[in-house]
Amino acid sequence: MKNTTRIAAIIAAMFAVLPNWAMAQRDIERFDERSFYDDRRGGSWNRIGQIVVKPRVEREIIRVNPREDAFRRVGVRAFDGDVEIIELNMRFGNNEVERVRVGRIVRAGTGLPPIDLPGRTRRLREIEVVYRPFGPARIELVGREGGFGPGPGAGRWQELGCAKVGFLEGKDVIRVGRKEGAFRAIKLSVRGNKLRLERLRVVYANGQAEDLVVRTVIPEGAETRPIDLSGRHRGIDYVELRYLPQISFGGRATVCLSGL
Amino acid sequence: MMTRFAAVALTLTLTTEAVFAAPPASKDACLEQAFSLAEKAASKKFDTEKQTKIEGMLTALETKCAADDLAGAESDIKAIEAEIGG
Repeated sequence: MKNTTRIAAIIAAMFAVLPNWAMAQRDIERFDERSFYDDRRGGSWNRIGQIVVKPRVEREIIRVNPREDAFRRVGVRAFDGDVEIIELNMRFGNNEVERVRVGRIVRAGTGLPPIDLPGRTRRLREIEVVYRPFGPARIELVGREGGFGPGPGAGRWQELGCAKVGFLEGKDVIRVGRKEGAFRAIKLSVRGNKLRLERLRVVYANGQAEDLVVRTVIPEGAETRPIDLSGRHRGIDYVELRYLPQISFGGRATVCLSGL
Repeated sequence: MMTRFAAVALTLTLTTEAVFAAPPASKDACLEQAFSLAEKAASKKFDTEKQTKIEGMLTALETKCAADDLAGAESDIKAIEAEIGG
Protein backbone atom coordinates (compact mmCIF):
# COMPACT_ATOMS: atom_id res chain seq x y z
CA MET A 1 0.00 0.00 0.00
CA LYS A 2 2.85 2.25 0.95
CA ASN A 3 4.57 1.49 -2.36
CA THR A 4 1.39 2.19 -4.31
CA THR A 5 1.03 5.57 -2.61
CA ARG A 6 4.67 6.38 -3.37
CA ILE A 7 4.31 5.45 -7.03
CA ALA A 8 1.12 7.47 -7.28
CA ALA A 9 2.88 10.45 -5.70
CA ILE A 10 5.79 10.16 -8.14
CA ILE A 11 3.44 9.93 -11.14
CA ALA A 12 1.47 12.91 -9.86
CA ALA A 13 4.66 14.88 -9.39
CA MET A 14 5.78 13.98 -12.92
CA PHE A 15 2.49 15.14 -14.36
CA ALA A 16 2.82 18.37 -12.42
CA VAL A 17 6.35 19.00 -13.63
CA LEU A 18 6.13 17.74 -17.22
CA PRO A 19 3.83 20.45 -18.64
CA ASN A 20 6.08 23.14 -17.21
CA TRP A 21 9.17 21.41 -18.54
CA ALA A 22 7.56 20.99 -21.98
CA MET A 23 6.51 24.62 -22.00
CA ALA A 24 9.97 25.67 -20.96
CA GLN A 25 11.51 23.70 -23.83
CA ARG A 26 9.04 25.21 -26.28
CA ASP A 27 9.52 28.77 -25.11
CA ILE A 28 13.26 28.85 -24.57
CA GLU A 29 14.63 31.52 -26.81
CA ARG A 30 17.46 30.06 -28.79
CA PHE A 31 19.57 32.57 -30.57
CA ASP A 32 23.15 33.66 -30.79
CA GLU A 33 23.25 36.29 -28.11
CA ARG A 34 26.63 37.54 -29.28
CA SER A 35 25.15 38.60 -32.60
CA PHE A 36 22.69 40.86 -30.85
CA TYR A 37 24.67 42.21 -27.95
CA ASP A 38 28.02 42.53 -29.66
CA ASP A 39 29.07 46.14 -29.21
CA ARG A 40 31.17 45.96 -32.34
CA ARG A 41 27.98 46.03 -34.38
CA GLY A 42 27.70 49.77 -33.88
CA GLY A 43 26.73 51.75 -30.82
CA SER A 44 27.06 50.17 -27.43
CA TRP A 45 24.77 48.64 -24.87
CA ASN A 46 24.41 50.60 -21.70
CA ARG A 47 23.35 48.91 -18.52
CA ILE A 48 20.01 50.28 -17.35
CA GLY A 49 19.78 48.24 -14.17
CA GLN A 50 19.39 44.79 -12.73
CA ILE A 51 16.91 42.79 -10.71
CA VAL A 52 17.93 40.16 -8.22
CA VAL A 53 15.10 37.69 -8.63
CA LYS A 54 13.33 36.83 -5.41
CA PRO A 55 11.26 33.67 -4.94
CA ARG A 56 7.93 35.42 -4.67
CA VAL A 57 8.32 38.78 -6.35
CA GLU A 58 6.87 38.69 -9.82
CA ARG A 59 7.08 42.29 -10.89
CA GLU A 60 9.70 44.91 -10.25
CA ILE A 61 10.34 48.40 -11.52
CA ILE A 62 13.71 49.62 -12.69
CA ARG A 63 14.04 53.36 -12.89
CA VAL A 64 16.19 54.65 -15.72
CA ASN A 65 18.84 57.16 -14.83
CA PRO A 66 17.51 60.49 -16.16
CA ARG A 67 20.99 61.35 -17.39
CA GLU A 68 20.91 58.40 -19.77
CA ASP A 69 20.39 59.11 -23.46
CA ALA A 70 17.20 58.12 -25.20
CA PHE A 71 17.14 54.45 -26.16
CA ARG A 72 15.91 52.88 -29.36
CA ARG A 73 16.37 49.29 -28.25
CA VAL A 74 16.15 47.46 -24.98
CA GLY A 75 17.71 44.13 -24.16
CA VAL A 76 17.05 41.65 -21.36
CA ARG A 77 19.61 39.12 -20.15
CA ALA A 78 19.52 36.51 -17.40
CA PHE A 79 22.37 35.47 -15.17
CA ASP A 80 22.89 32.84 -12.46
CA GLY A 81 19.61 31.08 -13.26
CA ASP A 82 16.68 30.79 -15.65
CA VAL A 83 13.76 33.17 -15.50
CA GLU A 84 10.57 33.59 -17.48
CA ILE A 85 10.01 37.14 -18.68
CA ILE A 86 6.26 37.56 -18.94
CA GLU A 87 6.05 41.18 -20.01
CA LEU A 88 7.82 44.51 -19.93
CA ASN A 89 5.97 47.75 -19.34
CA MET A 90 8.02 50.70 -20.49
CA ARG A 91 7.09 54.13 -19.27
CA PHE A 92 8.52 57.01 -21.25
CA GLY A 93 9.31 60.57 -20.28
CA ASN A 94 5.94 61.77 -21.62
CA ASN A 95 4.20 59.16 -19.40
CA GLU A 96 3.23 56.98 -22.33
CA VAL A 97 3.40 53.30 -21.44
CA GLU A 98 4.37 50.65 -23.95
CA ARG A 99 3.44 47.10 -22.96
CA VAL A 100 5.59 44.42 -24.56
CA ARG A 101 4.30 40.92 -24.04
CA VAL A 102 7.23 38.51 -24.01
CA GLY A 103 6.24 35.17 -22.45
CA ARG A 104 9.62 33.53 -22.90
CA ILE A 105 12.02 31.71 -20.66
CA VAL A 106 15.52 33.12 -20.70
CA ARG A 107 18.24 30.67 -19.79
CA ALA A 108 21.08 31.79 -17.55
CA GLY A 109 23.78 33.49 -19.60
CA THR A 110 21.50 34.23 -22.53
CA GLY A 111 19.11 37.02 -23.37
CA LEU A 112 16.05 37.98 -25.33
CA PRO A 113 16.45 39.34 -28.83
CA PRO A 114 16.62 43.12 -28.41
CA ILE A 115 13.26 44.86 -28.37
CA ASP A 116 12.88 47.81 -30.73
CA LEU A 117 11.09 50.67 -29.08
CA PRO A 118 8.40 51.78 -31.48
CA GLY A 119 8.33 55.28 -32.84
CA ARG A 120 10.95 57.90 -32.44
CA THR A 121 13.82 57.71 -30.02
CA ARG A 122 12.22 58.39 -26.67
CA ARG A 123 13.54 58.90 -23.22
CA LEU A 124 12.73 55.97 -20.99
CA ARG A 125 11.70 56.75 -17.44
CA GLU A 126 11.19 53.27 -16.02
CA ILE A 127 10.71 49.66 -16.98
CA GLU A 128 8.45 47.30 -15.07
CA VAL A 129 9.53 43.69 -15.51
CA VAL A 130 6.94 41.01 -14.90
CA TYR A 131 8.64 37.67 -14.45
CA ARG A 132 8.35 34.20 -13.03
CA PRO A 133 11.34 32.88 -11.14
CA PHE A 134 12.54 29.30 -11.14
CA GLY A 135 15.16 29.92 -8.50
CA PRO A 136 17.89 32.41 -7.73
CA ALA A 137 18.73 34.52 -10.78
CA ARG A 138 19.53 38.03 -11.93
CA ILE A 139 17.86 39.93 -14.75
CA GLU A 140 19.89 42.63 -16.42
CA LEU A 141 18.32 45.32 -18.56
CA VAL A 142 20.42 47.07 -21.17
CA GLY A 143 19.63 49.83 -23.64
CA ARG A 144 21.16 50.94 -26.86
CA GLU A 145 20.93 54.49 -28.03
CA GLY A 146 20.51 55.14 -31.71
CA GLY A 147 20.25 51.49 -32.76
CA PHE A 148 17.42 51.18 -35.22
CA GLY A 149 15.94 48.83 -37.68
CA PRO A 150 15.02 45.27 -36.97
CA GLY A 151 17.39 42.56 -35.80
CA PRO A 152 21.12 42.61 -36.07
CA GLY A 153 21.13 45.09 -38.94
CA ALA A 154 21.17 48.06 -36.59
CA GLY A 155 23.75 50.67 -37.48
CA ARG A 156 23.50 49.89 -41.17
CA TRP A 157 22.05 51.89 -44.02
CA GLN A 158 18.36 51.30 -44.32
CA GLU A 159 16.41 52.10 -47.49
CA LEU A 160 13.56 54.42 -46.58
CA GLY A 161 11.82 54.93 -49.88
CA CYS A 162 12.18 55.71 -53.56
CA ALA A 163 10.66 58.13 -56.04
CA LYS A 164 10.60 58.28 -59.81
CA VAL A 165 11.59 61.78 -60.77
CA GLY A 166 9.29 63.62 -63.13
CA PHE A 167 10.17 65.21 -66.48
CA LEU A 168 8.82 68.63 -65.71
CA GLU A 169 8.02 68.92 -62.03
CA GLY A 170 11.50 69.42 -60.60
CA LYS A 171 10.25 68.36 -57.19
CA ASP A 172 9.42 65.06 -55.49
CA VAL A 173 8.74 63.85 -52.00
CA ILE A 174 9.85 60.62 -50.35
CA ARG A 175 7.75 59.87 -47.31
CA VAL A 176 9.51 58.12 -44.47
CA GLY A 177 7.26 58.19 -41.43
CA ARG A 178 7.97 57.85 -37.76
CA LYS A 179 7.85 54.07 -37.68
CA GLU A 180 11.11 53.82 -39.59
CA GLY A 181 13.04 55.09 -36.59
CA ALA A 182 15.63 57.79 -36.07
CA PHE A 183 18.60 58.66 -38.24
CA ARG A 184 21.76 60.67 -38.06
CA ALA A 185 22.62 60.69 -41.76
CA ILE A 186 20.97 60.14 -45.11
CA LYS A 187 22.16 59.45 -48.64
CA LEU A 188 20.56 59.16 -52.06
CA SER A 189 21.19 56.59 -54.75
CA VAL A 190 20.09 57.00 -58.34
CA ARG A 191 19.33 54.46 -61.05
CA GLY A 192 17.73 54.52 -64.50
CA ASN A 193 19.20 57.91 -65.34
CA LYS A 194 21.26 60.63 -63.70
CA LEU A 195 19.78 63.16 -61.34
CA ARG A 196 20.72 66.81 -61.17
CA LEU A 197 19.96 67.46 -57.56
CA GLU A 198 19.67 71.02 -56.40
CA ARG A 199 18.60 70.74 -52.79
CA LEU A 200 16.98 68.58 -50.15
CA ARG A 201 14.48 69.58 -47.54
CA VAL A 202 14.36 67.16 -44.64
CA VAL A 203 11.20 67.49 -42.57
CA TYR A 204 11.59 65.83 -39.19
CA ALA A 205 8.95 64.01 -37.20
CA ASN A 206 8.58 67.02 -34.91
CA GLY A 207 7.78 69.29 -37.86
CA GLN A 208 11.15 71.03 -37.94
CA ALA A 209 12.76 71.27 -41.36
CA GLU A 210 16.33 71.40 -42.58
CA ASP A 211 17.37 72.65 -46.02
CA LEU A 212 20.45 71.12 -47.55
CA VAL A 213 21.88 72.68 -50.68
CA VAL A 214 23.48 70.01 -52.83
CA ARG A 215 23.81 71.35 -56.40
CA THR A 216 25.44 68.39 -58.03
CA VAL A 217 24.87 65.69 -60.59
CA ILE A 218 24.41 62.17 -59.30
CA PRO A 219 25.39 59.89 -62.18
CA GLU A 220 23.28 56.83 -62.91
CA GLY A 221 24.14 54.00 -60.54
CA ALA A 222 25.92 56.34 -58.13
CA GLU A 223 25.02 57.63 -54.72
CA THR A 224 25.71 60.76 -52.73
CA ARG A 225 28.09 60.86 -49.84
CA PRO A 226 26.42 60.52 -46.44
CA ILE A 227 24.70 63.76 -45.54
CA ASP A 228 24.81 64.34 -41.80
CA LEU A 229 21.61 65.57 -40.21
CA SER A 230 21.84 68.22 -37.55
CA GLY A 231 21.45 67.06 -33.98
CA ARG A 232 21.52 63.48 -32.82
CA HIS A 233 19.34 60.71 -34.24
CA ARG A 234 16.13 62.17 -35.55
CA GLY A 235 12.88 60.77 -36.87
CA ILE A 236 12.15 61.83 -40.45
CA ASP A 237 8.65 62.54 -41.69
CA TYR A 238 9.56 63.14 -45.34
CA VAL A 239 12.32 64.36 -47.62
CA GLU A 240 11.58 66.76 -50.43
CA LEU A 241 13.91 66.68 -53.43
CA ARG A 242 14.38 69.64 -55.73
CA TYR A 243 16.17 68.89 -58.96
CA LEU A 244 16.61 70.14 -62.49
CA PRO A 245 14.13 68.49 -64.81
CA GLN A 246 15.74 66.56 -67.66
CA ILE A 247 16.33 68.65 -70.74
CA SER A 248 15.75 65.68 -73.04
CA PHE A 249 14.05 62.33 -72.61
CA GLY A 250 16.76 59.94 -71.52
CA GLY A 251 14.46 57.89 -69.30
CA ARG A 252 13.24 58.62 -65.82
CA ALA A 253 15.59 58.34 -62.91
CA THR A 254 14.60 56.52 -59.75
CA VAL A 255 16.04 58.04 -56.62
CA CYS A 256 16.14 56.12 -53.36
CA LEU A 257 16.69 57.51 -49.90
CA SER A 258 18.63 55.61 -47.25
CA GLY A 259 19.12 56.45 -43.60
CA LEU A 260 21.79 55.57 -41.06
CA MET B 1 46.16 106.81 -62.07
CA MET B 2 44.54 105.56 -65.25
CA THR B 3 47.50 103.29 -65.85
CA ARG B 4 47.03 101.72 -62.38
CA PHE B 5 43.33 101.04 -63.03
CA ALA B 6 44.16 99.52 -66.36
CA ALA B 7 46.82 97.32 -64.79
CA VAL B 8 44.43 96.15 -62.06
CA ALA B 9 41.69 95.49 -64.61
CA LEU B 10 44.09 93.56 -66.83
CA THR B 11 45.37 91.49 -63.90
CA LEU B 12 41.81 90.70 -62.77
CA THR B 13 40.80 89.68 -66.26
CA LEU B 14 43.79 87.42 -66.69
CA THR B 15 43.42 85.91 -63.21
CA THR B 16 39.70 85.24 -63.64
CA GLU B 17 40.26 83.67 -67.02
CA ALA B 18 43.04 81.56 -65.59
CA VAL B 19 40.84 80.37 -62.72
CA PHE B 20 37.94 79.45 -64.98
CA ALA B 21 40.23 77.91 -67.56
CA ALA B 22 41.74 75.52 -65.04
CA PRO B 23 40.33 71.99 -64.94
CA PRO B 24 37.97 71.24 -62.07
CA ALA B 25 39.85 70.54 -58.85
CA SER B 26 37.99 67.34 -58.07
CA LYS B 27 35.27 65.00 -59.20
CA ASP B 28 32.79 66.75 -56.92
CA ALA B 29 33.78 70.19 -58.24
CA CYS B 30 33.40 68.86 -61.77
CA LEU B 31 29.89 67.54 -61.09
CA GLU B 32 28.97 70.84 -59.43
CA GLN B 33 30.16 72.69 -62.51
CA ALA B 34 28.12 70.33 -64.71
CA PHE B 35 25.10 71.11 -62.56
CA SER B 36 25.64 74.87 -62.98
CA LEU B 37 25.91 74.49 -66.74
CA ALA B 38 22.74 72.37 -66.86
CA GLU B 39 20.96 74.99 -64.79
CA LYS B 40 22.14 77.75 -67.10
CA ALA B 41 21.06 75.78 -70.16
CA ALA B 42 17.62 75.10 -68.64
CA SER B 43 17.10 78.80 -67.94
CA LYS B 44 17.81 79.73 -71.56
CA LYS B 45 14.70 77.97 -72.96
CA PHE B 46 16.41 76.70 -76.11
CA ASP B 47 14.51 74.89 -78.83
CA THR B 48 14.34 71.09 -78.56
CA GLU B 49 17.13 70.50 -81.07
CA LYS B 50 19.58 72.67 -79.20
CA GLN B 51 18.43 71.30 -75.84
CA THR B 52 19.12 67.79 -77.06
CA LYS B 53 22.55 68.79 -78.33
CA ILE B 54 23.46 70.46 -75.02
CA GLU B 55 22.08 67.54 -73.07
CA GLY B 56 24.36 65.22 -75.03
CA MET B 57 27.34 67.44 -74.27
CA LEU B 58 26.40 67.61 -70.60
CA THR B 59 26.06 63.85 -70.44
CA ALA B 60 29.54 63.48 -71.91
CA LEU B 61 30.88 65.98 -69.37
CA GLU B 62 29.18 64.24 -66.46
CA THR B 63 30.57 60.90 -67.58
CA LYS B 64 34.08 62.40 -67.57
CA CYS B 65 33.50 63.97 -64.16
CA ALA B 66 32.32 60.64 -62.74
CA ALA B 67 35.35 58.91 -64.25
CA ASP B 68 37.69 61.52 -62.73
CA ASP B 69 38.82 62.58 -66.21
CA LEU B 70 39.18 66.19 -65.13
CA ALA B 71 41.44 67.29 -67.99
CA GLY B 72 38.96 65.90 -70.50
CA ALA B 73 36.13 67.59 -68.62
CA GLU B 74 37.80 70.96 -68.97
CA SER B 75 37.48 71.02 -72.77
CA ASP B 76 33.88 69.84 -72.53
CA ILE B 77 33.10 72.66 -70.12
CA LYS B 78 34.51 75.21 -72.55
CA ALA B 79 32.52 73.71 -75.45
CA ILE B 80 29.27 73.75 -73.44
CA GLU B 81 29.87 77.32 -72.31
CA ALA B 82 30.36 78.34 -75.93
CA GLU B 83 27.19 76.48 -76.97
CA ILE B 84 25.09 78.02 -74.23
CA GLY B 85 26.53 81.47 -74.61
CA GLY B 86 26.51 81.46 -78.41
